[in-house]
Amino acid sequence: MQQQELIPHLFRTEYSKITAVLCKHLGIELMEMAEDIAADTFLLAYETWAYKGIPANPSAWLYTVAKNKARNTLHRKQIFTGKIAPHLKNAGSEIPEPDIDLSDKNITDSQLQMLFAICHPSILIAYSPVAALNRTYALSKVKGKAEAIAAAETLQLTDNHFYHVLLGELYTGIENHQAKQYFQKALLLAKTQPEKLVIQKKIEGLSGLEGFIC
Amino acid sequence: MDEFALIMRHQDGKALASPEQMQIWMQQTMDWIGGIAAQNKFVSGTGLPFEDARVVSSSHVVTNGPFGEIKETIGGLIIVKAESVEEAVEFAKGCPVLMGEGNTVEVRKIAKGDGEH
Repeated sequence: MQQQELIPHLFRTEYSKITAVLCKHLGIELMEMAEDIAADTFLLAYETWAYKGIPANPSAWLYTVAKNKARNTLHRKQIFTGKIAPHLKNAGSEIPEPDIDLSDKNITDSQLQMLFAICHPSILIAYSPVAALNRTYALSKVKGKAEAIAAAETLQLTDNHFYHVLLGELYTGIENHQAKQYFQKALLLAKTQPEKLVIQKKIEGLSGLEGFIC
Repeated sequence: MDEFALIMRHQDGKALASPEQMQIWMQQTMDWIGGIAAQNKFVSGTGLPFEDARVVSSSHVVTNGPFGEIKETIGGLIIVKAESVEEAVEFAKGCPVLMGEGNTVEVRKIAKGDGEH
């Protein structure tokens, strides 16, 4: 690696990974905070490396700093929440230390999860209950739809419309008839108008495909 | 041989730093320090991130800062060995923060505590 390009290169390869992993931990609604932490990490890198020299493993250095910064941020946030929410006061002293995992596997999962969240705005509304579904979607990207369908169907979250959306999504292009049934069930369960619109569009998209595939 | 602190004052670069700019600044700082170290006159140095900077006043009022009234503040310092303040000033002249208008490097002798000043 040419030293002249080190920081821009790391920025290209690591910034999005760090942001994705932090987003997973902080929650997608705190994406800006995740981006700030990632940007601050790079700023600190340049301020530190200029004086102390470039570390042997710059990526690992960035991960460690980002992890610590996120931990501090979360800690501050939790203390703040604890103070303004009296019922949390007693639990305030036992704040669990989050374990932020910047392994290759978790980076891939987080990036896929973020992709999914971005592609499905409806999921932003209720992020945490669909974590399992998100993993299933990631699975479909990594191991193919068939395996993801098997994994998704074992979840049996039949009263969750995201569950039906996901299965509809997975069956699309494989068994469009099945996909349509899942989307229709999702439409019945969806609570908000924007969600319903998104699902309606999926069903319409399927009808367009039917002549070709089924 | 005395030790001198070269104290850099400049603006918070955060708002305008792109990865390319960071790279250039880092390289310039490393080259500057490298030149001093090559003469075996570099003692130590550190950047002082603006993040989490606080000012505690005499009444124990803590403010985020030191921003607001003054544009530039201490962004870092290095300690060098030099035969004279003039030599230390020559080192300071090579400091890349001086490329920014209004930025300064203050040269201060480190107290030795041996009564020899």
